[in-house]
Amino acid sequence: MSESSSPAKLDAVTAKRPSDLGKHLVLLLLLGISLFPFYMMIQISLKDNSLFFANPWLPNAPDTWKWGNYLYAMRLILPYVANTVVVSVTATAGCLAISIFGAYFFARYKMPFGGFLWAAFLLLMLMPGVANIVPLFAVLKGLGLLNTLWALILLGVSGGIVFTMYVLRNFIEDIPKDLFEAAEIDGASHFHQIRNVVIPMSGSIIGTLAILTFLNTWNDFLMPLIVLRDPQLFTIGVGLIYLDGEYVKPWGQIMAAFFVASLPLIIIFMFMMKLFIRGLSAGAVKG
Amino acid sequence: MREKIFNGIGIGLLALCFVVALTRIVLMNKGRTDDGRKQITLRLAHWQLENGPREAFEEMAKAYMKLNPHIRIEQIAIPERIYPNWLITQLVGETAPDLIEIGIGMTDELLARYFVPITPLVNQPNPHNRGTPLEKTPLRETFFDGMEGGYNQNLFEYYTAPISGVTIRMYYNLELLEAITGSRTLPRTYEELVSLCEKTRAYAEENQAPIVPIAGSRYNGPMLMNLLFSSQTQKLSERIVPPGLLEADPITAAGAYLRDQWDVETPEVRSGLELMRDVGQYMQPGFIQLMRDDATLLFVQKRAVMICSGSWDATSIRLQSGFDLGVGRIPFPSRDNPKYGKYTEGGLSEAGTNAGLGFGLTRNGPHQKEALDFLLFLASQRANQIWTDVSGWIPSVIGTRAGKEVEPFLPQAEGYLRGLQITIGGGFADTTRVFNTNFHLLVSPLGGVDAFTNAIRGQYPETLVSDLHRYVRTQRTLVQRGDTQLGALSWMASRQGENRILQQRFDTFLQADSFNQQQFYRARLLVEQEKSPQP
Amino acid sequence: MSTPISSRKALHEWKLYLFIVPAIILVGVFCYFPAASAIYHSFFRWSGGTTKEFIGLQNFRDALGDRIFWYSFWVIAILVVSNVIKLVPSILMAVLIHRLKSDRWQYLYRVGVVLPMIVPGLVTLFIWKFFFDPTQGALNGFLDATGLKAMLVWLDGMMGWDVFHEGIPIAWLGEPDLIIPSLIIWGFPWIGAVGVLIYLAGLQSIGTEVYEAAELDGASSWQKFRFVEFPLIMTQVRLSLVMLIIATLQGFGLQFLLLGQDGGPGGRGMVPGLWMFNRAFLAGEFGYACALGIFLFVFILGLTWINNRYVRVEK
Repeated sequence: MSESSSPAKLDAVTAKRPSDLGKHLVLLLLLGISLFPFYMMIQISLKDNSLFFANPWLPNAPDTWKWGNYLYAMRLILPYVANTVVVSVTATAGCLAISIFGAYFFARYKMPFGGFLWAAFLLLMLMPGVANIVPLFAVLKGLGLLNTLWALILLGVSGGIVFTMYVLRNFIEDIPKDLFEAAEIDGASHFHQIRNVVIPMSGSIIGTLAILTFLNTWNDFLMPLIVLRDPQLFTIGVGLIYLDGEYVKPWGQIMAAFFVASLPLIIIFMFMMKLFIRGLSAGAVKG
Repeated sequence: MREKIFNGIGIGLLALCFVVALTRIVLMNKGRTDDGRKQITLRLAHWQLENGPREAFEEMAKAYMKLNPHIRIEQIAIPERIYPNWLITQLVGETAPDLIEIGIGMTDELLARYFVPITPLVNQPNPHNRGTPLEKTPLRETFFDGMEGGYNQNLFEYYTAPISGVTIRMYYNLELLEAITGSRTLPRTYEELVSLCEKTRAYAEENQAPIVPIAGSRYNGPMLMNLLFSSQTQKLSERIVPPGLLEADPITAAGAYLRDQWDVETPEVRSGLELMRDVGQYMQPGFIQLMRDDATLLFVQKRAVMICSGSWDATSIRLQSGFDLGVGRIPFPSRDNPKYGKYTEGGLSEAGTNAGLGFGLTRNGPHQKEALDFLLFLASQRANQIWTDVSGWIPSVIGTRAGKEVEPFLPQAEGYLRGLQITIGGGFADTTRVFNTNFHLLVSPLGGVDAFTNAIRGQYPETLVSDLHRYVRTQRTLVQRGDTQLGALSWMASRQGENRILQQRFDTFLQADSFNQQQFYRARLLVEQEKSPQP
Repeated sequence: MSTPISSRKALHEWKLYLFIVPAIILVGVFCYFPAASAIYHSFFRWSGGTTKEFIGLQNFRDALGDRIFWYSFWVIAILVVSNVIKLVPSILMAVLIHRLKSDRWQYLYRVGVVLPMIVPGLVTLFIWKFFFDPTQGALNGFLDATGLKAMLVWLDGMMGWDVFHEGIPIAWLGEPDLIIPSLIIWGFPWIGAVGVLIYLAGLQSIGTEVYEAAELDGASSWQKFRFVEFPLIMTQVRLSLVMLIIATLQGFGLQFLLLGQDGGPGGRGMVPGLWMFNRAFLAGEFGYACALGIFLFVFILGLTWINNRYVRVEK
């Protein structure tokens, strides 16, 4: 665990405090306001428009809940979710794979030209990508990748590589050299060294980086909006934008759609929560 | 550890979803690559997300697919807001659907570069009209407006075969109307409208009900107001429009302003502004901030007695309201109106309504022949009948029967010509902008006609001139382009002397080009005169 | 650090270069090439297809005279400042959580903080868009119910804004003068989960001796914060700050979704990225958009350089 303060130490920090009540109040208030949008999302999703206008703030009795909204939402959003899952998972996997190899290259030895290449990668971190969107469109068109999910996957991978390699390189450099040397002596190729040394040691940071890349591709809507034409290929981002463009908004159904769009992430996080929180904190201390 | 198990489940679920999703995509692609003879997919793109059109397109597509089993039609509906972006991305990226609705976001550049004109087909009958009374009629004459709605004046070509049309109407909540006035008679003149509005206010007061007479928005409000304004400038228009023209085109209107034939203080104009303000008072406070759906919502929630909107809203409003809907023409001031009667001739005629809602054929589509055939199908009488029956919108093809609910929306010719608009219209962007930015002064309770005219008066001559400059530039480009075409046509005609079609085309071009030249010179003259005003 | 390597061994290890090849290819094609292409095309009038017309510096000259473009920088400056201020609640939250006695509560709050983050950003954005709705939105409902609306109207009368009126629903995204305030208010109470967790981690690495020393000196809780906690999480704050500024400068997704591609009524919400997008994908002027992008790029690069050179944190 990365928690360096045990209860005993904390007492020293807060010994003079009479109670935490004040803090709890403030925290609960802040949290409450933060979570308010989601409360609204959930309680509206179970109403239809007339119920909503009659009673906009509070949930209605369970027997009036309009489950039909969810059926509609699922029919609409699940295809988008499916597409987004494919894009995000593939992009994350690709990004991690390429980054691990790349970071290993930089971290292991100071190879000739390594400094130059590293500087080239670093420059990318500072370069604002906003100017790229326009020519990127032309590049994708030239490669015949417009209106495909591959475009999104490749963009997701390239977008994540730089940051991921940066963090991974630091991590790999911190792995004790003897482990590597031992493996080399045992005749392991670089590939094996990565498999047996790097990956087990960097498990948690890889997990965190995976989650960050996954989230990034999941939330992206700008490139999908420009690149995709066929509704069957839409990702969640584009789907929600189109939904927002409807003239008459059945708010109940729309909120249900929002909920269904959030569901996959919520489920994943419920299971991988500790990993993420821990990984973030660890990464933060490092950076 | 429990955590490891949890993590494992998480990843497992993700992996499962991934596999399912991937399979779905692979299967989808499989279906799509069965091209050529087996299965052709045509894509149709539009922005009509209102209730009605999407269903109608489905039905029309089904009818077509029955005739051609190897063709599948796919509809792509894009929200209005992102349509212009989407359009450019698709056209430039060459992934454009085969048929795209022409209108929003379209420029002459895009049209000329990416779409195929259908002009060669307009003088021949539509093959899909076989078996109907229109069997021998040239395509052009099968539409109620002579296919003018599909013609692009600047490019001298027909690009679409429009399938519908648009008229503006007043929608009424008949039940509420009855409760307030005791009958379901719709107001026919502005005086009757005012009386209804006053009665509504009294009713709302008595019953403590939050009911407004007219539901307004930044969209519906100006729609009604601009029409009413035109009724006040009818006689003014008659005075300034040169003989031979029926309505004040932008150059005439702008020119007349610059020659001091009218300005914002002219009694007719002022009367029009007052009329706008008057009717605005009957809309809900703050209406100018609200969007289109807000007004519709107010109306269907029975909190407004009427709403002014286009025929495109008919089906949406009908479906959402639970009550009996009445539809009537805009109540214009009659000549007996004590305040507004003296400058008006009467209600506006809809004889000049053009057909609209047409699809253009994209140039680089993979299935040009099939797409063109489908386009012609959409323009046929049979398809148009399906269109109006299912969507509840106006049909464009002659000989179609309009359903009971569509009837009130059909364009009606009785009435008089419209007067000039204070925004000049026709692409005078700066002038329109000045009007829009100051509009709230006209309608807000704290503002007034004076506040509005004071704000506009200073800016108007300048914006008119800058708009004219732009107009001159555009016209010059058009004339240059036209001249090139004329030159080419003339050369071709001289080599193929007997080609009658070519000759016809040349004549049409010459006419259109001459008109553009005339406009160019008129506009330029005005601009020159402004620079060195005559004493 | 990576081990130095002799040239001979490097030659022996040549296969290692293969590891970097995929990364180079991807980054080259999708990051470097477009950047170069942007610079190249900014000298042309280009509408995205294959035809382009060389016009030299015309695009840049047009950009310099483009009022909307420079206005957008003004907007983004306001947004950057407000975003920096919006960092405060996250820091506050981290400090409060850190000072709690019970470990269990700490963990619970951490979960609570992460919860909003796992809902996709788009959904949050759209829900807020709904909040801003004049007739049905929660914001107006809240203001009306709590009487804050009346207070705003009164304030408006005093200050002469002419924006808040009795009986008229506030159009947060429809009234030109309210657009920038709406962009700032959005996301209340501005707690970023990633930020909170990062600051928490930083706080937890503060040794207890420092706290004990502060206690002995009789420091109040505010002084503890100012002299102990804040300086020691400065690195994290600085990192957040840099990333935040760069992201805000480039970002236009928020404005695009809330206001549409014209930056809302009167174009008041226009930001540089959005204007670039608008010029390319609405007006079809791809070459001009590239030139705008280059201006933006140079601007951001300049700021980053200033940041690295002059803003140093003492340990």
